[in-house]
Amino acid sequence: MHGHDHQVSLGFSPDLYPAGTHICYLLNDEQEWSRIVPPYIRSGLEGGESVDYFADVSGSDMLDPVFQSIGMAGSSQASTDGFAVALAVAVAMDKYCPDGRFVPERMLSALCDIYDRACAAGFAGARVTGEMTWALRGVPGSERLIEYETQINTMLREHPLTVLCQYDTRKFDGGTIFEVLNVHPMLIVHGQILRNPFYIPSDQSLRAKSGESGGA
Amino acid sequence: MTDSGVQADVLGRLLIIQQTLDAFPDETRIAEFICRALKTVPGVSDVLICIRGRMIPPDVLFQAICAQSERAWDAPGSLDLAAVDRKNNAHYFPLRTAWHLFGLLIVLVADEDMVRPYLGLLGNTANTMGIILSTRMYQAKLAKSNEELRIARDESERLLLNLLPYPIAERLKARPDLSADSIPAVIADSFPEVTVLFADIVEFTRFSAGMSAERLVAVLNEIFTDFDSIADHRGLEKIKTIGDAYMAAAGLPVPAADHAVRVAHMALDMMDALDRFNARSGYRLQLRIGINSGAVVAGVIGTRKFIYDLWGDTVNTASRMESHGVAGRVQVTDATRRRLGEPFLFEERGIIDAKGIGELHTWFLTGRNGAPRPNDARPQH
Repeated sequence: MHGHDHQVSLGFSPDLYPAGTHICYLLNDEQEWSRIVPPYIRSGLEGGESVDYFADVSGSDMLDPVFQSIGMAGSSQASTDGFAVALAVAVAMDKYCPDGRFVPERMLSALCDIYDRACAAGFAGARVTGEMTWALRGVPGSERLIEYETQINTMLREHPLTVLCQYDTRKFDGGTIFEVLNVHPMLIVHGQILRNPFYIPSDQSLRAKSGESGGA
Repeated sequence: MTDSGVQADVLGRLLIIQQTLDAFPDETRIAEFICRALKTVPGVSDVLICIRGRMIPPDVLFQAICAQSERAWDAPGSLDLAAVDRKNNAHYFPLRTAWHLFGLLIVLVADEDMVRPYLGLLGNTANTMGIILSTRMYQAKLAKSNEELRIARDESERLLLNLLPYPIAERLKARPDLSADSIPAVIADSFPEVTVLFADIVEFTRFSAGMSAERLVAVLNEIFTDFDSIADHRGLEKIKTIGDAYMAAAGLPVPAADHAVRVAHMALDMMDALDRFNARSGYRLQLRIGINSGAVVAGVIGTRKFIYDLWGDTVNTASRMESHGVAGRVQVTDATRRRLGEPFLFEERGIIDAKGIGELHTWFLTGRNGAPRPNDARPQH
């Protein structure tokens, strides 16, 4: 397993980025999505990383179309090309809110586990990507979304898995998107990956948050 | 920091803002985002967006500014935003197309010295926002126009299908180069095998004497609506109605081997439908139906109020079958009877002398085999 010094391909860009990069993808177009997310997943698998995809679908019976949309024939067929162990697709709500509540600390711990398990299994790294629209379902604790995103940046220092957070600008309001930008060092907009000048490093952000009464 | 006093990170943010705006699907999200994002520019205390007709900031001060700006909506060149800036400790950036001012980006200033280096960049941001918003507005208008066009097209197609058979309407639609004036040159088809039906309500003129026009139309409408349903059910093409007469045919515009059978069923069903109408209404109306089979020419003529119509001896003979027929009975030619055969019951009428045609051997269609019509047991002449 490599650390931050390990450069990884994101699949949709010719450049390499350090493992453990935290990226905000401002999504507003399905065609563009297909040029970003499936290559991100495939490049992780081809690079020997484990990949977890958290899809905002209503149930596990809806996961086959997700497999298809990311260019995989389906869970059963994935085993034939050696990706079965590496690629896991799950219902976002089951991962983020397993008991119907969102607890950032629990999810951060789950991300650490993903990284640790990948290390133990001999993968070259780990990457995850999640469709964040689950946070719009009014689940208790989802108001702590920005706090969670902030803490990911701290967590990644010790567990450098690459994280791509998919925020659909057709669903989230503009104010929330602005807050989301503040906590992601990298940004994908119109299919281009950019260093995000709105990013506020974790320690500054948490200090600022501690002065506020509520979350995002 | 550059010589102009612009900080690199602020410059980066402003560029990202411009790049990000287009990722939002609507003006509300754009406004929410930009109001938050521009507050990170040094010296800016708040940002408001005013779009004509909506999204007016609630603050009283800015309502007044917008009211002042209102005079300039249709003449943006006359709006002295610099004067308003000085008066209100704010900067106003127009949201506009080349021809139309549709909003303002209002930047409230806490420290004029700090914000000054960024005024040009804020203007650029407003320009970008104006372009994106105006593009969205035009796209929305275009989508609305397309929807209106679709509704109008669907309505005209529906009307066309009321006038013309579906295949004929489709042929016309497939030739967008045609105008209504050139239709007759295009639609004129020969059909060697069709069956034509004429029906007339016996002595309807006498029956309707003294009846109000509204009631008369209501009676005909009720009867002919039943006939239309039967035609649809039996696979006939309704050709037209003339007064109390009803004309239909089978075997066109799509040929059908069982054209005579379809028309025979239609005629018997029409008789039954009129019996049911009489039972409902208390009237004692009777139908006289004539049928003939053979070749016709079918098409569309005329340049206005065109309809699909039929021509030829077969049509004329079918018409004579009706006019020389008997009240309450279905008269068919020998040609039609030969095409019907076993499934139907006939009573030979014999030779009649049809005006303009000559002698014809005709038959009364009295029912389906095993199910004669009760009324045909006692014909009324």
